[in-house]
Amino acid sequence: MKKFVYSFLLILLIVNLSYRIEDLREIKEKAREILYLPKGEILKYLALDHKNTLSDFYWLQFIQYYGHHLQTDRKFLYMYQIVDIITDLDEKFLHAYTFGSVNLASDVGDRVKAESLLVKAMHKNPERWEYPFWMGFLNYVFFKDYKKAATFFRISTLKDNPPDICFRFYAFTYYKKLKDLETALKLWIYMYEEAKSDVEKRIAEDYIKRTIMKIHMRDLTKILKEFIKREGYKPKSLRELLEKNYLKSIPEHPYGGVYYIKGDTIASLVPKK
Amino acid sequence: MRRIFVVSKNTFKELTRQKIFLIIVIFGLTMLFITFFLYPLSVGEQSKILRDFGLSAITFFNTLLVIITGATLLHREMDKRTIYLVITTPVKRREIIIGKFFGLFSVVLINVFLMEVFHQLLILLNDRNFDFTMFVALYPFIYEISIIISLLIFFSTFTGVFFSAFVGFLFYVIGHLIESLKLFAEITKYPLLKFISYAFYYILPNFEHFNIKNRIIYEGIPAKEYFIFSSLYGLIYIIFLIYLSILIFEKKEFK
Repeated sequence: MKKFVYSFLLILLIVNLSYRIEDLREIKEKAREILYLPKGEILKYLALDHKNTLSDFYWLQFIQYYGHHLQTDRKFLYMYQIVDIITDLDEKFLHAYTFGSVNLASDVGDRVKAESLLVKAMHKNPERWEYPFWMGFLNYVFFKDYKKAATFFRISTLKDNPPDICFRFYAFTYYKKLKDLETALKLWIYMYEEAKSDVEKRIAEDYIKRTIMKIHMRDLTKILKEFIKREGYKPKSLRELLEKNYLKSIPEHPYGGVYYIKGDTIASLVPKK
Repeated sequence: MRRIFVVSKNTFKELTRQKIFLIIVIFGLTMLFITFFLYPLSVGEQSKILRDFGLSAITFFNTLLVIITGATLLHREMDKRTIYLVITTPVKRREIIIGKFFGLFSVVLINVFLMEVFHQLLILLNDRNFDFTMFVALYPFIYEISIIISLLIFFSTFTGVFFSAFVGFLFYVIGHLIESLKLFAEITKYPLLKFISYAFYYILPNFEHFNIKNRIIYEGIPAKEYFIFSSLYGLIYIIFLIYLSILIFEKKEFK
């Protein structure tokens, strides 16, 4: 009995100490992030014949880093450096390039780094269609550089075994339809279907909802202007558009919010999470 | 031939009885198993990580096993003075060297095979099917590890245990970094340095010739010419080192 009590007390002490050390380490979190980021080129030599495994190890670190900052301060100071190391160690790691560049564009808003990651990918893997396609995608949905997007969609069609999606978007550019919200929606739906993880699915889903909301607001604004032009006055609410048969039904807000009239346009009210 | 087999069999038995062998095997299998639990963190890259970590665990722990046990292959006989008994029997010295080589080689071969079988089971649990290309990825590694065994036996014939192990490890590192030597040879302006760098580059064992892990995962199985040439390269290197070991060991005097 005595031995059991002693053992139990020791385990309690170990758990308590572990908990305290964890607390102390939290303070040094930022410093630790810097310490563990050596240059990928140096790691390449240190890894010997285990470059891929080391790259995977950094990938796991990156996912934890991303998840941690996504839930806390949403500051991703070292995102580019980590992905740069991962892709130095494993030059063919497609998911690291794409996931990293999309997050650099959407969460960090750093166009230079997002693009430089994809330029590196294209340089290391000139035969792959995915990288110019993603370059087109980023320029289309995030940076609104439609000309550049068109160029890269076209480049993606010239690579080895490009899928239909490359030709479809090249066709959109050809018919000068690039500014269509519908096109953006199609792109995001494609990204949602191709997503390899829940994180990417969530990002794509959010942009799908955002695009649907913009389409609704654009269409409702068009109808509102038509109403004002014909009836000669501003309606009090969207219901009035329904009553006068300008609208078949009020579209369902993708975020569960409401659309309302603000001046001579339609605005949206999204409920707080 | 029969005598070589007897030496190999005894070496095999002796090695499998060692605690260090068991520890490394268990640790390697544990590493493989841990890989399986990294899934939730890998965000869509489970399959890749399972393959990468699996192949790395198998190659790394078997290299470690060879460096630790290979350096003591001959020295244990000398320390225990059993070598005096052996050389008085009809067993020739060259048969001891060849037998020792095959003894450790068979341990590693079985070990790699069993670890890969375990790896395949983890792949089956994750992907719902086997991936036999992993066996192909490990085929060149068998040559790499055999060269390391030969190197360790070679250095064991005229140096101590620690020095043999150290040099074995050094060759493992150099063998994987040797591509940089070629890069250096290409950029250097001094003809003598260029010549020396190229000479070392082509003479020293190039273990990157046996490293197709990345290629298998991304591009599939290489052309059969690769396997023919890399197998020949490995075999010739092993024969050369074993031959040198025999030459030294036959001239060695036991006091």
